[in-house]
Amino acid sequence: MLNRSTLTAGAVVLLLVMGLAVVYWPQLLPAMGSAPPLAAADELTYITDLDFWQRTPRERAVVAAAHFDLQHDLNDVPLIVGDWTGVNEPETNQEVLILLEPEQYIQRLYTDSAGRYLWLSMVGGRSSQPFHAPDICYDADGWQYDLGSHPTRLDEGGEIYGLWLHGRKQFPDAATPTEHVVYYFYLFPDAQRNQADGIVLFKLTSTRYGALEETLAMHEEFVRALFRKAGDPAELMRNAGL
Amino acid sequence: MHNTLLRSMTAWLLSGAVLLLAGCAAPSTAGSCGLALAAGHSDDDAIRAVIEAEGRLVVSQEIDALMALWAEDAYVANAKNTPDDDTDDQFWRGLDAIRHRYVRMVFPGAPAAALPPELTIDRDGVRAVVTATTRIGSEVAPAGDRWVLIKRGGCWQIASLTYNLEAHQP
Repeated sequence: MLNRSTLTAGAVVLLLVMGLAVVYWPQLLPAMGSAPPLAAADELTYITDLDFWQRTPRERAVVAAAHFDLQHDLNDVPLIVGDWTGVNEPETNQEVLILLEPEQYIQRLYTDSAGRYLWLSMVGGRSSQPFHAPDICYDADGWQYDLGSHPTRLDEGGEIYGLWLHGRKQFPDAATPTEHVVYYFYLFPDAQRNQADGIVLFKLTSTRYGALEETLAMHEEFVRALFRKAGDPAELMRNAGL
Repeated sequence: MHNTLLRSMTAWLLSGAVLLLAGCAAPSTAGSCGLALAAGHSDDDAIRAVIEAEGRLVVSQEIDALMALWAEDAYVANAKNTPDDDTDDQFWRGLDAIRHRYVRMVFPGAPAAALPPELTIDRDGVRAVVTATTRIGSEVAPAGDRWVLIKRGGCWQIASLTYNLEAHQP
């Protein structure tokens, strides 16, 4: 028969265990499989973030399905991505290339079986010059836009974040405003994020299909086909012994 | 003997649990609670302190401290000097977008120290609408900014900022 003291001790131990669970829950999550283990040795592991200039709370380590760094040719990113088929559409505006001086600049038009289109732009460079935040460019070109962020949940666990931009512009010869939905983030080869090691801007642009949320879901689906799992960059550093 | 040992152990465990849970319940540093306000301050004091801290932290470009002033679901809107027409308003929705606006649009302009804004506070329980007239040098934005603050967990946080509310003169 349990006496009162034993019950009290049991209650206190339970309280302690609950307290420990609350305090250490974030560290326990990876071990419980909610976030996949990440290893820096995997050459398809990258760091993503909403900005290249400063780290943000949305910085993540991510395992990609292709190479997104300047040690590799960005042309090797697959032309078939899920239901999407792409064709290269080289930039014809030389001013863009003169202004940005990118080390690599890939522009592709993907279409899916429903006839929807999606532009993928990948801009690679080793300085800040090639990376103009898209909203600055849209602003300068007279677009009205709203901005926010959106998570992409990955199939093998974790999520990465991108900034979205919903732009609208009334062109003189058009009956209705042209609308663009842009979703973008930056990729770094490692957690040091040295510009000299190369940065890649990953940017999707389409018209609006249905509501903004539906369009972002379409962009998310495309991103999910190219990135497998994500987690905390600190975990990546720990696994690398840094 | 057995009971004494058990009581002693219970006391130790209880102390440990109290300490542990005390650590869990750390005071909030959100919004006004992260500012060193004098004890016994009023709601209006806290609201004023949040707005003034925002201006000060923009000048010193302390992004993390700045973001701590904002509520999770906050937004910034540019009224584009057409206060009666919200169809042309531009929005930065959520903390990520607000951070982006500070870092990529506001900070590069190297904002200079401004006089503390003249604030009109209209408070209704846990929600306050603050109209601000800002003076930077000879430049005056009369009632150009409208802040909405909300009180959550005893802390006043910024829920929205709408700026460029002063109408263009024809």
